[in-house]
Amino acid sequence: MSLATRYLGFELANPFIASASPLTGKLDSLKGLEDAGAAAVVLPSVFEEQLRREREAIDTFTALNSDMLTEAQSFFPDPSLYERESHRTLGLIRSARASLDIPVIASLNGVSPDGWILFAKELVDAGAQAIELNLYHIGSDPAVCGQEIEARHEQVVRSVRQAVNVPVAVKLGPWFSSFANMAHRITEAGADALVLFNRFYLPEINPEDLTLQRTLHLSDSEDLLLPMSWIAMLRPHLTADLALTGGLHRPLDAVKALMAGANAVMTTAALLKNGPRHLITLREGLEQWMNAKGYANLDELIGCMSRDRVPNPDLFERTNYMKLLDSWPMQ
Amino acid sequence: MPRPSITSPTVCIDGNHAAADVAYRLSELCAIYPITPSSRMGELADEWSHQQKPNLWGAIPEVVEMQSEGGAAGALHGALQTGALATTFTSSQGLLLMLPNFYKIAGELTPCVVHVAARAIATQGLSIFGDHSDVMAARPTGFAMLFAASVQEAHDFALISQAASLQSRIPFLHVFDGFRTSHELAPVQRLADDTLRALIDPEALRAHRERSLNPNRPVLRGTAQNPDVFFQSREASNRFYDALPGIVQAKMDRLAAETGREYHLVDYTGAPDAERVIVIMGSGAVTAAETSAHLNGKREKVGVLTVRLYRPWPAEAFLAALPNSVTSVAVLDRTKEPGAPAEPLCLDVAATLQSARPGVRVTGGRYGLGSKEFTPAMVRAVFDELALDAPRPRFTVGIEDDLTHLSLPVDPAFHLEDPETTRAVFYGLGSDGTVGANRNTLRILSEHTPLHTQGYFVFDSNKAGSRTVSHLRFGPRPVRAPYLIQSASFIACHHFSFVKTLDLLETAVPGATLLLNAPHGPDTLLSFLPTEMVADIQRLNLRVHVIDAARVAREAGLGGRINTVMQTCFFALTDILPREEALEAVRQEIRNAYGAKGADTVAKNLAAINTCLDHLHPVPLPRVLPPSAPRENPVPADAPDFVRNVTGPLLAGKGDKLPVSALPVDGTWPTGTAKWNKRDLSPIVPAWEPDLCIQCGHCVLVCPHGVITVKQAEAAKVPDAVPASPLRGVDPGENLRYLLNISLPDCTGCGLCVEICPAKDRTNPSRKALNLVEKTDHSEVQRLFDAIPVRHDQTNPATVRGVQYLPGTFEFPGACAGCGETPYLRLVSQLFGDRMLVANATGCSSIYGGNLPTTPWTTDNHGRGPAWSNSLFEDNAEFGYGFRLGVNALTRQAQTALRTLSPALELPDDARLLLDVLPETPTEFTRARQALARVLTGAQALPDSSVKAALLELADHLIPRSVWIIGGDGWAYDIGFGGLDHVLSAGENVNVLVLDTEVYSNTGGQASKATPLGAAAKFAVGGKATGKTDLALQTILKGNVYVANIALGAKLPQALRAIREAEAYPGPSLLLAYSPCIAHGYSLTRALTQEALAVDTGHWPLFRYDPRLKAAGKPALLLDSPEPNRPLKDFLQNELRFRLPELADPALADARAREAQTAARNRYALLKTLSET
Repeated sequence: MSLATRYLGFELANPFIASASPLTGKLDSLKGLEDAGAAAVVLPSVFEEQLRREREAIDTFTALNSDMLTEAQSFFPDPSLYERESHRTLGLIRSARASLDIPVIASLNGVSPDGWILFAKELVDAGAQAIELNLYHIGSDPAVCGQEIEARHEQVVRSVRQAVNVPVAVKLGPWFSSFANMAHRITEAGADALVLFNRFYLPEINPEDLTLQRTLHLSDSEDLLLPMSWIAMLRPHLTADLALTGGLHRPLDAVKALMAGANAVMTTAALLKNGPRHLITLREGLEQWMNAKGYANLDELIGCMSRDRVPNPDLFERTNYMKLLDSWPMQ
Repeated sequence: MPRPSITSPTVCIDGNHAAADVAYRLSELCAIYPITPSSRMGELADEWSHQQKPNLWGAIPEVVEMQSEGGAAGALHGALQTGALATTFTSSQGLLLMLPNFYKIAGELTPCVVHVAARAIATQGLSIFGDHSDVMAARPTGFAMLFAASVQEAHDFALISQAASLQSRIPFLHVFDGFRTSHELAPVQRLADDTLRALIDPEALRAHRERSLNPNRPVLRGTAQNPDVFFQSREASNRFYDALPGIVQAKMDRLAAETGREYHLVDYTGAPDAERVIVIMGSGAVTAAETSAHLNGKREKVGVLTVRLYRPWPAEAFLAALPNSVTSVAVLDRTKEPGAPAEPLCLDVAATLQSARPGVRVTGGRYGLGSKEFTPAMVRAVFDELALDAPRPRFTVGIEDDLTHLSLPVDPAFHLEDPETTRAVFYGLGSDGTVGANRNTLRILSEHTPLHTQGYFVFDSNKAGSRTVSHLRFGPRPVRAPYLIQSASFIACHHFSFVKTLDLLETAVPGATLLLNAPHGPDTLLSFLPTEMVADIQRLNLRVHVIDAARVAREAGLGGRINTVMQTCFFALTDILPREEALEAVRQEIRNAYGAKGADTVAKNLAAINTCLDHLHPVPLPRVLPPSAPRENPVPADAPDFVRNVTGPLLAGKGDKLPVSALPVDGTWPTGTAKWNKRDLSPIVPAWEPDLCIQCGHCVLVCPHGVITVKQAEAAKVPDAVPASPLRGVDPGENLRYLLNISLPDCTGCGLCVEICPAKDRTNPSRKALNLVEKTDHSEVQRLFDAIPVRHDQTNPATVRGVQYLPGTFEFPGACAGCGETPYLRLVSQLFGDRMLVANATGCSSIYGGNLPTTPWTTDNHGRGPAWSNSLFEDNAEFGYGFRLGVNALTRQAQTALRTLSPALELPDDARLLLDVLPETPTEFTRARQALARVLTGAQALPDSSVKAALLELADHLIPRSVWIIGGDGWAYDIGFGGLDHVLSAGENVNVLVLDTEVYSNTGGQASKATPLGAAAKFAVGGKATGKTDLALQTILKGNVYVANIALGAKLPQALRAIREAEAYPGPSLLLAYSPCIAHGYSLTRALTQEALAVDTGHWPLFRYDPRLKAAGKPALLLDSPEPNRPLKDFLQNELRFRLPELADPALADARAREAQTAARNRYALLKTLSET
């Protein structure tokens, strides 16, 4: 029985990748994930705005009140005394590479065309073995049409692909008019893998004090359906690797994702809820299920339920909608 | 001027850096305590130690910050006893605290060097500035004293003193002038390690080690000696002092052999046949020597004797250096010894000449006290005086003494500048980058060209919106001018509003260049300049250039940072370097400075350089000048006489011109002066929306600058132009109004009032009852508001809503925008201001509270307000305790007199409030004051007696005084801890308010024992390794002290309640007040949110401990904040002080954050337990 798979050119011992979360943000928990069997890790996303702001904050708050007063030339030790690691993730990449045997994937959430390239290079220079571009865009500007956004996304992928010499995965949300087309264009632009799907963190309204508040809803197995369906639909059309993220909590979730066509599966919420050792449960569960069903390796499993192999592929599309409506009891 | 090319290698550093560089390389331990102006030496040593820079012998010196200079001296003494090479750096009051140890160290013939940036001692007022008062107090200690006169000498003498000390066993004070040398940037030929090795005798070092305390060859040192031997023992060390001058000269000679720089114990410069000579020490000697050379060029016969080794007094060298032709000597002392026949150096010289050269006339004068300028004109005045038949035997120079007429007349037109030296003066706003850019310019020129440079920076007294003036000189010859530029060939004004009030062209020479950063084009600029300035421009035929640097910087993406733009313009307009060469050097500096911050920052600055010259325009001077307004007076015409005659000139930068008679004789100054200094600090200010306001008063309480005032008034008395809303909580039929006014010229635009405002427009929550808007003219509304009579319907000191109406007697402090300390002082002043005595420890609160020209402490409508004084840093608790004891004594006498006379007086019922039942509420105080007035009326009618006289004299004391002891955490946790502990234990009714910023704020962010675990600070570069001292719990254990942890911005009612309870408590009380500070490293516009986080995460739990509850059988500790409901990291991650250590060592920072989380949890659990028992 082999759980080995390939993702982004890496030979992974199993398909389970720990995706970006607080667990992948510290070296000791990264080691815990590796010990529990994670095949690869994606470090917490570096947000371009945050990175720029942090760099500016150091400059601002060390320089802001310098040379202002007779008695105090400054209010902090000389900033040059600090390593000036532009982001702790860069340091984390270095230490993770030194300590871990599994691939270390850095995640980047950019804003500006320059930022994507600049920071992707910094991540690679720090030792990232692959880059996951997190294309997180809220289309809130009525003046910007969808084509423009899509073209920007393509350009980002193309630019980064040209700028770095490591594999590039692209994490996307599903909200495009023609997602299959978008997925195709992204891979044409150079993505070695697609990671489906991004989760958008939307704020909550507090009606008492008229403020917006941050919220964080972790996924559950119900959330698996959307990425699983899209992976199944895309699999026949794409040669790039596919990874599923969001909704993977139980071994059977992994089975379904792989059957749909995922080369690897990512999990965050389940690890946050159950701890890194939940990876063992997932891996052993997958193994047991495959054993029980007679699958010898993952190649037999991956894509067996993709759109081109299932007997009734229409269910992935409108027919599914029709059937559901049909089954709804009439009032 | 020849155009040099970029070649020569030197370092451009200030005197502190120059001394510390050598001291560090020759030490194994630096035990320090921060004090201006020497703090930087310790900070640099600490940074080098953090960077693992080795000393001369390959070891990493350890740098420890002690709780006071007394502690530093003790640690120094102890380390020396073990045979280590140890040093310290200090100034002023710090040096005084070291004196007891100096006697010991010298008495034990222990070699070491203490490097001193010499500074004035606080007398009638504190002065952080330079003179020799401090080191002169060390004369009897037995320390040798070597005076450096320049930055290079501060570097060289650090070595000579250490080498000579080891060789001679005599400890040294290595002295250089505070600020003038310690802070002057100058090119220094850095001493190579090999040069240090050449002077330090390894045998002498070995001997020092061998004399150490060592259990393998034990000795006894520090005995108590009886009359039989003490005297003889005291004389036993004489021969070591006798030998010292020779040793020092030998070391100087060796240095000369190594470097070519020659020094002597006493150096003479001037005419070989001089008749008149000035004797002087320190930086003033340079000015004197330059002036002497100039006068000799005019066929005068004068000279200057520069004393370098002052103790032991090198009489022989002095006499050898003094030309035989000399007939009169003027000795200049930078110190004052009131009542002495003359100042110390003068007496030394007189005693030396009395026997050896009795024919030489000796006069003595004081100069340069508290960094008073010492200029060539003053030197000439001294020489001129000596030329008189009967020169004044004792004199002062540099001031106008119109009382005792000791001052010499000085010709203000006499200047002595090298015409080939460029003299540039830059006016900037604190932290706008001007000073930093000028430092860069100096570095570029001195480290990359053969040019000689000098930089010196002057700051005003305000923390928010401070003014900086940079003085830069550079030229082909060494700059020997340790005084401010008096004739400038280049003047730049980086902040346009300065033109309105300052005489920027005071120092301009004809044909000078004037560079203005202004939002006006070249065609209209002149009409925006004051009439006087335009006239000066025309009269002096200045070359005027203008640039809208703010716009250029903004468009380049640099925000408000105009430094790169202005620096580029400076190089473009001056002829110091070929333009492209200069610009390339600036570009390289930017790459060096910003390279680590990312390519985009570099790119933005480079873009600014490339485009800014397109926006730099010459300003043509038309034949007919456009009309413009005259320069504004710094204070209005209706200000009191003192404010107009004294405060006004100080504000206008003309304080040097005030005569002695203008100033108070004893350091006593009027309060209520901040209001006359309208600084117009922020273009963005809050605007009030009466329709939304819920009249909660939160904004009044959190405003750090006391600019928000509210009133209750009758509607009929409120003019239409004054915004108002119906007063809540009263019968609408009464037709009363609530008025809120913001004194816009005093507002810093910090935005805290907007942040705390809870009243939102329910249809548009982004609009609050207070919103930041662009400032418009408000003066008429202000005038109308001030005139509206006040009512007190809703006034209630017990509630936040009610306390807002009490008049504050603390307003418009020059504190940093968003300061976390000042709101506490404002609130305390509202509650108790009319009967408050304040003992204020040295620190931020004494600077924004009592640094001239103005003070925010003021009076109410009755003329009553806080009486304030600052004694020292270390003794504040004892100082305030003394207030209490003195007040008690006088109150008892007043009460005794009243009781004695009561049978003869028809005492009103309320007289009990003067004797038996202390008033508590404002109403009771009003009744007590009314009763007192009737008592006094009655007493005056009684026959004269000593009792009546006593009552009339002391009657004021029948109104209870509220004694407040106020200071920061550096005072309370460190230097003043012993006294504070004692005073809190003593049981007297004092109120201690600790404004806890968790760091030394005033001296620039050094760690205190209040600094939290893991926070970066100076002397805790990688994050503080130990936790914050729990002063509250320590004090609670005493059992008799009221203790409260408060955070005004987090929970106003709790803070108000605690402050009132503390004051009402009849014994000692301790209020620990959490105070956000710029040294925390985040935008203080978010200070209130962050303060709330400090509470919610358990960093700063709120509680009150009231011993009265214990006496009533209840738990004495009341927890006012719930169990922390958020992780501590939510608080830590917002502040740079906790983030910086992450950059250096993430794992260590994480470990400390976890430890801090555990400590916070445990502390809360302990408090909870105490609150239940």
